[in-house]
Amino acid sequence: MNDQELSEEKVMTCIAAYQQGSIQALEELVTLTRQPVYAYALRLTASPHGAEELFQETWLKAIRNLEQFRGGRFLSWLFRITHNLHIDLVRRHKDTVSLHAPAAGSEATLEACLADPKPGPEAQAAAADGVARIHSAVDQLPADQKMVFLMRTEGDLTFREIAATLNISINTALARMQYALTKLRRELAAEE
Amino acid sequence: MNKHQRHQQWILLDQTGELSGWRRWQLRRALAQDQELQAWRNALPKLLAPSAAPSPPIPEATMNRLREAAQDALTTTGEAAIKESSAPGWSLTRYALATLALIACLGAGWMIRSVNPNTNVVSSGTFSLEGLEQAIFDDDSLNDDLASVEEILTLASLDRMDDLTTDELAQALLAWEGESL
Repeated sequence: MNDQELSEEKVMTCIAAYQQGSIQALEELVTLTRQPVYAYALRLTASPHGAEELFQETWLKAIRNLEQFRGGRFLSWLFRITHNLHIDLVRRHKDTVSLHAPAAGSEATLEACLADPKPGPEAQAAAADGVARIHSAVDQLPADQKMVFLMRTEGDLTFREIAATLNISINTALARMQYALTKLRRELAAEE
Repeated sequence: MNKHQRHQQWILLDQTGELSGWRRWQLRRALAQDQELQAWRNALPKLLAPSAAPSPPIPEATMNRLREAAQDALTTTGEAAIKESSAPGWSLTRYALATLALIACLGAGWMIRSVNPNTNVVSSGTFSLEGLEQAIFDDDSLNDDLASVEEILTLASLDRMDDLTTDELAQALLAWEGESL
């Protein structure tokens, strides 16, 4: 995502145009936020279908509450909605067994635990890619660290924004990020 | 938290532009002396790289659903705005009614006060029928409103019952009424 494309000025212009009746202005805003919000949703749900659903629900809620947006970082506001919706979704399905929920006694998801230990050709090709390895390691992080990490990397949120979004102190946000990075470095070093 | 961890957090804050100038200077000094801290910082760009793969285009079904929601929200907002804009009308009506009621009360009060000083019914120690009659006839606005006069007289009589009996007041009223008719 290009910051210039989603500048505060651009966001406010689009919102104002939409409130004057331009649906196209809203479509433009949806499109501009597609990459970071979808990427964040994908990393949270670990499923393209789940990500698509979360993206749609995020924007449906955003549209209904657009008047409550009082300026500031729009992406931070959207991420807060995504985060809260994801929490609701997890709570709603906590009694059902989900492939994306952490497996008992493990921080990894059930899906990851059930995965074929021998990676297929595609997975092997992806594993060769450093980014894919990092993403795989991120998926193994505890949920609270993963949230902070994804908000920082996918949304480019500041720690102040992350703290506000997750309703935690900035020191807690920093500590979680620090733990996450330390673990990731260790994981990647072990692989190498 | 040890010094090393603190410096790591400062590196993170520095990347987001949230580190103060003084601490940035301290961090620069620490980095110059600590190779491990340098290695930690140098690893960050790789670890913090966002998703390389572009997201798929927004499905048409999703976009249509969002368009519908956006249109609904606009309609709802429009209706709310109309309600809001009509609200002052209601307020104006209420204010107008309240103002009229206030004027009526003030008018009634003025009428009572305009009679009392002349009649001296309440303020004076003795009741003067002549004075009362004079006051009533001096005030043209009261001539057509006998009910009001009656009320005034009754009130006056209640205030000074020891000065005028009910029979005397009734006789005075009848006499005055017959004269006015």
